[in-house]
This record gives sequence, structure tokens and C-alpha cells, in this order.
Amino acid sequence: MREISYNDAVNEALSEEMSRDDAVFLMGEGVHSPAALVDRFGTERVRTTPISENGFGGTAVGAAIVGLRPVVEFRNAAFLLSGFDQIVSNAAKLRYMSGGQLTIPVVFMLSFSSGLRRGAQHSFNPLSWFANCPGLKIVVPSTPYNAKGLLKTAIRDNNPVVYMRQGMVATTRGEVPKKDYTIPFGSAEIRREGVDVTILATLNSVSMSLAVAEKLAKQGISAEVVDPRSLVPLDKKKILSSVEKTGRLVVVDESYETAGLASALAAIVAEEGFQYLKCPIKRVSTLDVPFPYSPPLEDYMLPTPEKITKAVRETLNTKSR
Amino acid sequence: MKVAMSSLSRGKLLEFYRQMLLMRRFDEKAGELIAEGEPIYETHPVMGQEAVPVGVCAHLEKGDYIVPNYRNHGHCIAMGMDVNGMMAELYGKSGGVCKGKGGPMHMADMSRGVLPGIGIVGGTIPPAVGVALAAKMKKTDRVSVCFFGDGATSIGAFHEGLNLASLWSLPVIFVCENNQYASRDPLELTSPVKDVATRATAYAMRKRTAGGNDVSEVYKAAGESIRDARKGKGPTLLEFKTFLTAPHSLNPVMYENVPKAELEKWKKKDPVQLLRGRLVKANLLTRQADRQLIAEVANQIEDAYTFARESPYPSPKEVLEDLYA
Repeated sequence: MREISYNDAVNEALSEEMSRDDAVFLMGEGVHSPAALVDRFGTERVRTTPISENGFGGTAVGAAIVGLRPVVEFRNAAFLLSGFDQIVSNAAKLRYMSGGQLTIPVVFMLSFSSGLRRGAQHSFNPLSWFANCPGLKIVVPSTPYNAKGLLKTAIRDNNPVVYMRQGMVATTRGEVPKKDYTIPFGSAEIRREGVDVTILATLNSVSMSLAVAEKLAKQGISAEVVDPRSLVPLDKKKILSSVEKTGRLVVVDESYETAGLASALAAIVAEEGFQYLKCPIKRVSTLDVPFPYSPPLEDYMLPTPEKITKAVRETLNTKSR
Repeated sequence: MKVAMSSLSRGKLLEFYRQMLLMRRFDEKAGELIAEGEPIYETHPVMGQEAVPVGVCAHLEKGDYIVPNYRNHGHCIAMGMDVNGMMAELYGKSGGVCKGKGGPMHMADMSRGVLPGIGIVGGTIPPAVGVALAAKMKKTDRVSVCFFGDGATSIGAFHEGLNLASLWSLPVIFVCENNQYASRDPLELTSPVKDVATRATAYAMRKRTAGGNDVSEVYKAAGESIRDARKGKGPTLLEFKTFLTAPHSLNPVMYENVPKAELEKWKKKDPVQLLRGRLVKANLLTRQADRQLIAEVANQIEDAYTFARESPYPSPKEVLEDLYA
């Protein structure tokens, strides 16, 4: 199969969906570049906005309520904070507070950086904030294949979807079919099968965990790597059945350690799958400090292959219950 | 009188008067119920400002939308929403317009073009721009009307929204109900401009300031702005000077913030009394017909109260419904 970049996979999904449905349009800062989408669909449907995240984020909400299907691109999720109100107070809540009278089919595509040496105000992972905002769906594409399939599902969904476009993942290439395909939300993917330990990982932590599992296999440790692909809705069933098989769980996620996503996932397994566990769950998250610029400092705070390996070994060294 | 009443038919004026009486009685009743200790936890009355929603919404047609703020009962009534459902929503009952999920601030009726009232100051503005964007992209002549107070004109959402609407020449009318207080803070302490419509200049946008207590004046100003929007001439910032003659919100811990002399001055310009006086003077309404109309409206609100009281509360499990489509 052909290999393409993550960004090309995203643009292919946008292009296919915009051809399929006239209601779909793209807006955000700098969306006129690259020009391919503008050339094909014009500036009405590929709409460059001023720097005003609250303004255009809320505009997308209004347009979605009355029948359009906007995809809003936030070039850096850190800039979105001034527009957070429109996502939290309006996109996530208007349907609920109206008693279900309206739908808001909008995709918020959030680019965000970590590990890219961009300093404290341009780097962060806002995943757990959105996970604390009922009314939003959240997808975490970890490969170009998932990027295309999940984006197409997001555009066709009738709810506001937060699409996490992580900088580290966006630089990757991978196999992507040319054909039209979608990936249903709430379907986790077993990226590697194993029997000794489950590594539940999101976004770029997935490829990192796969590399760790590969190395561990040579040492006789069989790790299963599970990618949830969407966090809301969450495929609890597949996660729990993997833990039932392996009896051990390491959760790797780049949101902060305190009240982060790894905590939430660990809590679900502790509550609903405690009987399967042979040892305590381990979390590998980001240390609770702002992002420093200096490479050794930033690397130290983020999940690393060493930290994942150490966590896996700790679960295996713990005496079985 | 600035606007000749003769330009409006008797039927239309009486309908305006009826709507304003209904808003007034709805607010009065809600206040009475709260004072009696009924389980209504807050409402934002529209007393003294009734002419604005009436005069603006009279121009709207099927397919147009309004985005109200939390002081929304006037907007809802002007769009023809059911007062039974509105009263039940104050109680959080099943029969409420939002099945009790919205409450006083967030009433919605999409079948009548009423988006949920938005409780964040300025939060109405970007979605109203989006509604107008959709109207334009679908090549219709539909319009979007956004309501907010003077307090919203200093927040970023206002400026970002106006900038986009003008940049893209969208059919949206930004209606500022300038009641001269942002909650308890007078405009002169919060804004460098006295006429908030002045702000439109920065966005190369059409602007208009008019009196907000004379429904004929409101009707005329809104008509021009809405016609412009339908013709593709883009947005207008439309400011109505008015005054809230009730507290910012009615709740168990009400406060009074307005200087008494200022309040008394505006009470003399009460929009309901103003219209009544003119209708009577022009022989369009007899004293007897007036009494009859007031009684009818009072009965309608009593019926709404009975409906709300008798409507059951939602079953607790419904809390999980209506989140996702």
C-alpha cells in the first residue's frame, strides 16, 4: 500500500468529505496554505480567519446549529485558550441545555506540541481538560491511517468532536488506503498482541510503546499495546478484555500526572477490572511542571521509552496476588 | 413622538401591546413566586426593556434565528414561545420548553428560531455570526439577530464577532439593549464610549442608535437594519437606549444597585405605559378594552403557573439524556 504523511492523510479526508457533502467547510488561521484545498473548493469553503479563536470557534458553533458542518483548525491549541469558552460553554452544552432540540456537528481540530522545543506557552497537551467536558467527543489519532479514518467519522458525526492533532504524530508517514473508509468511534485497536502486560497508550505514546514492546519481546516479555483511538466514547470492553488476558496494566499518556487521562483510565480498570489485576497499575504521564525549552529538561518531563520500560518491568517484578 | 404611529396598523400596535403586557406579567408573576418561596431559583427580568424584543422580533420570519442572552424572557415571548412551557422551565419541570434542563437563562425553541439563551456575557455574539454565515453560504435571505447588553461590548467575543461579521459581510444584526448597567456597574465606569454603537466604526460596520422604550421607534430602526441584512448589505450594530426597572436578577438574595432618582426618571418612560397612553390617546384602545386585555394576559399567566405547578419533575435518570445526538 502507498505511504503518505499524516498531514496528507488529514487533507485527503477533508477533501473527500468536502466533495461528498456541500455542508462541510474548513475555517481557521492559515488554512489557505497549502493551496490545494482552496484551489479545489474556493475561499468560501476554505475560509481563512483573523486571529480570533473565540470569534471563529463560536462562529463554527452557530453555523453547525443551523445545518453546516464546519471543521475548525486551531493551529496551536495553546492559542485556543482565549476561545475556550465557545467550546466549553457553547459547543459542549447548548444541545443539552436545550433538552436535545439541536445538534452541533462541528470538528475542532487542535494542533498541539510537546517535545518539539517550543517552550512553555506553545507546548502543552490539553487532552484531560477536554476529557472533563461532557458533550464533546474526543479522538486521538496515532497514525496517518487513523488520522484519515477518524477525521471522516468526526465530520459525519452529529456532535462536537475534538480532534487531537499532535505535533509528534503529525510528522509521521504511514500506509493509508486511497479509498473511502471510516473508523468508528469507541473501537480501540490492539496494535500488538501480547500476554504478559497491557500497555494502554494514546497518540505518540503508541509508537513509543510499540518500540518498547519490540525490544522487550527480545528479552522474552510479551507486551500487548492497545490504542483507544477515541477517548469519548471509550472502548472499555476491549481495554478490560486485554487486562483480563494479561493481568497487568501500564497506562502511557502525555497529559499531566495529576488528574490526567492516565489516572482516569487507570481508575476505570481498577473499578471494573480489579479481579483481573495481578499487580498495581502503573502510570506514565507528564511531570507536573510547565514545558521548559531546554531539550534535556523537556525530555525528562515527558513519557520516554525508558520510563515505559521501567513501568513494565515493575509490573512484572511485583509479586502476583 | 418621533415615529408616526399611523405607519403601524392598529392590529400590529395592539399585538405589540399584548406581547409587552405578557412579558411584564410573566416577570411580575415570577417575582411574586420567588418572594413566596416557590422553588424557582433565579430569573433575569426584562421589566422596562420590553419594547426592544417586541419591535425587533416583529420583523423576523420563518428561517430567521435569534441568539438571546440570559435576559431572554422578552425575546422568547416576542418569538411566540409558549408561556406554559416557559413557566414550567422556571421550575425545572418536565413540561418546560427544555424539559427542565435549561432553566430560566437557557430557554430555547428551535422550531421558532430561538437558540438557547446564553449565560456568558458576550457568548451570544460568535454563534450569531455563525448562524448568519450559514444563511449566506446557503444563499438564502435569512438573518440572524443577536441580543446582548452594554456590558457585553467590552469583552473579546464582541470584538472578534463584529470583526468577522463585517469582514465577511454577514446578515447579522447585533442588538445591544443598552440598559446602562453591566450587572451593578454603570456604563461610565466600564466603557470609554457612551453610545456603544460607536464601536462599529472600528469594524467599518453600519451603526444606529435609537430609543429603546418607544416600540414604534424600535420597530422602525430594526426594520431598516434587518432589511439591509436581507439585501446582502451586511451587519449593523443597533443600539437601543433603555433601562431595567427591576433588579439585575430576581433571586432569594436580590440587591438594589440603581440610584433611586435615575430609576424614577426611567419609570416615567416605561415602555408599556408609553404605548398604552398613545393607544388610548389615538382612540385605538378604550379603557374597557385595555382592562379586558390586561385581565386576559393575567389569566394566561395564571394558567401557565397552574400548568407549571402540575407538570411533574423529570425523572432523575433523565439527567443522562440529551447530551449526545
